[in-house]
Amino acid sequence: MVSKAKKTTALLLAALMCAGAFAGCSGNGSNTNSTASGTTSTASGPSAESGSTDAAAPTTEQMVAKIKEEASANGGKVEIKVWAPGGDKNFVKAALNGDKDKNGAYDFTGKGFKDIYKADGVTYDFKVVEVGENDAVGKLTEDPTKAADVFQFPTDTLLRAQQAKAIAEVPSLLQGQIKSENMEKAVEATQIDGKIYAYPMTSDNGYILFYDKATFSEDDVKTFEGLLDKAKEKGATVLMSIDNAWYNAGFFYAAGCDIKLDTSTNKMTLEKFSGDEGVKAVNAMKSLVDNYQNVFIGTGDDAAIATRLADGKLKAVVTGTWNTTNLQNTWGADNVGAAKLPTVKMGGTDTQVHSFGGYKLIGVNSQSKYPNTSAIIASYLTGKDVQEQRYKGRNLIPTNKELRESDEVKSNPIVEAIDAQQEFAHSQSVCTQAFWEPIASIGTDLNNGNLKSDDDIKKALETQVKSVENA
Amino acid sequence: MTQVAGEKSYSQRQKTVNIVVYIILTVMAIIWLLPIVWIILTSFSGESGPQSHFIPQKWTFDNYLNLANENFPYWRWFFNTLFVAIISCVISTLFVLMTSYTLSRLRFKWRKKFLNIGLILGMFPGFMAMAATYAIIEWIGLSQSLFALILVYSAGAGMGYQISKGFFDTISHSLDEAATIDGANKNTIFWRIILPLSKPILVYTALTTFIGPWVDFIFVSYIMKDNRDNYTVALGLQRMLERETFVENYTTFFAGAVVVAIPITLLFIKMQKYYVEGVTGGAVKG
Repeated sequence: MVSKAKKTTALLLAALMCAGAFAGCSGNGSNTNSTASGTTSTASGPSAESGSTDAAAPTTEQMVAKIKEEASANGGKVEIKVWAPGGDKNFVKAALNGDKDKNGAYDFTGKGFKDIYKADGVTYDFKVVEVGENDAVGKLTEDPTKAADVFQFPTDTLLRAQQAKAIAEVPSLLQGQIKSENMEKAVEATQIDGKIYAYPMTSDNGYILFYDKATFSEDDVKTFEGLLDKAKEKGATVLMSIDNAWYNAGFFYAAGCDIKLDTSTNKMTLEKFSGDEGVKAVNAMKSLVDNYQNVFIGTGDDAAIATRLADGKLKAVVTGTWNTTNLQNTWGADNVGAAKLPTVKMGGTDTQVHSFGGYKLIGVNSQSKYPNTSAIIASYLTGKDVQEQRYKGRNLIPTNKELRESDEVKSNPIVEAIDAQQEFAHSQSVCTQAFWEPIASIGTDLNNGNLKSDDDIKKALETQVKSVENA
Repeated sequence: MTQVAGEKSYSQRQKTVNIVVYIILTVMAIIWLLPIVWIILTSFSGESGPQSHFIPQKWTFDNYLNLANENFPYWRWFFNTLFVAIISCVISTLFVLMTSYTLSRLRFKWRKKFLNIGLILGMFPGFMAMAATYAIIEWIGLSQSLFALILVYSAGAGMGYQISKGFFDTISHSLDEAATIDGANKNTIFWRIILPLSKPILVYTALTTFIGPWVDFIFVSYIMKDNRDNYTVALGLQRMLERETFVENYTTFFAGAVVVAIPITLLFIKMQKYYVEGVTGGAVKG
């Protein structure tokens, strides 16, 4: 009897716990549902009012009128929270409030958001909170009601934000300006199924080859083989983390593989990954690992790069612009060279390694209390003037067409390298969360020497591709 | 052959054994202490970012002086944690001791069943119900506040009654009976008789609950979200090492880690005697 009673209690409790867990889930579920209805109303709101729009930018008066409308509904106050990463926080603050940097890197005196969109009876209250770009969408979807109105994020998380219905569509009033002012590829990166969801801000969220000019010549960095031969000769090392799918995908693209995403089912298709093309890509990486032991380093996050730089042996690395300062401090500011990724021998022919190329965007929370004002702020923060100051003061590369054509930006070697790689860069928006781990494990296996023959490679690819496609 | 072995005196053999034991212990101590020494050394390093050498080439105290800045209000986070730790320590200690006393001394209908319920619930990790907890906190309007943390850390404390109940069971019932004869009720017995006898278990409970807020990361990050003013040190320190600020904050991070260890270490040194007594006292079933 006692044991029976015990069992019943245990069962009951287990049931209770499960119910608790589900209650939690359903709580979240209803949350996203309300988000959904929120989106439709906010998204349709401004576009319905503006009616038919042409490509011309809306006038400041038009926008001030919109802000006034929203302010009067909230007692004349406009309280906007903006998420920006640590390095950008002061910049965003200055751009909104019309301040300048204490070191003079940027100056918004008299031309901040508050100055341009000055309106009678409207008091602005901006709160800039530090949240990393890579975390922004995750934090936003956790609880949109507690999230920022305006946030910075990288392109690869756009799909997640859109699927959670946490990001507002760009009001049609502002769409024309985005399309006409920014690079075509950057505009493409803000769209899902033909709808624009974000404002393009910078075009540097990809990777290129950085090298020490004191060690390598411009000819050396054209091929991986040349680069590594020279490194071997000079006792230097070269790093590309092929155990990270963000980097090793470049080899697959180069071999002729492709990635497709069905946005309605959220299922990925990895075309030719487990075919001959995939094997060719893995063999190209394998030749680097096997032929250049202790010269080619196939693993390393930012922390490892920093350690290896301090070691003094690392002289070339495939990474993004966020490591520039660090590289300049180690190699010397004038010695940092940048180039498109080198070619690699694939089945005997030199093949250009491809890459993922992304953008940093600004988005508007679909549950914002000030959908129009937030949209106008996002548009202002990605406009030409602010992009120019962001380039000068923060070294972040603009997406604005006019700025990209200017001599100052064009002659920047890093911009040149990014532009050269652009042709071979693919958008990350085809990748769901399911992609990264399995494909990364191929690189880990290579680094550990687990893939000895073509059969091993094919088997590994088939397993991992299946786990991505069936996720 | 046994004769040959017997030629070595007992003390000699003992010596060899001791030498081997000490070598093993020394090696283990080094392995165990190395990371801690490394953290302390790095916190005094004047170089920026991770380094490949163990001992810093430049020494500085600046990492400690620069602990707090505009983006990383370290001291605020530190006192947030201290505040939450002290309050939730007091509340949970009371909860635990009262629950244990009740389950040890009082006899009521669902006592046995309640013991089982507590045991089973205790087996589920607290963060399993995180979404539900968050929903409740949101609903009573406490989200992103320090009180929410106090609630989370102390509300379920009663479930951790096992060890202190074990300790109370070892205190003779005749003390209770004697007190009852002198006119004490259950409440007086708890405060006047049992508690003064339970110093070790009191210290043990207080210490374990005090440490909670210093090491918890999951709940703080879920509850506080972007409200940096209310972060605790665990979450704040983690934020220091984001991609953009990694190299810049690297050595400061270690200084912060050392400072966190100070209050806990001090408490432990002071309370160590009771702590060991408490754990073993509760483990021996009377």
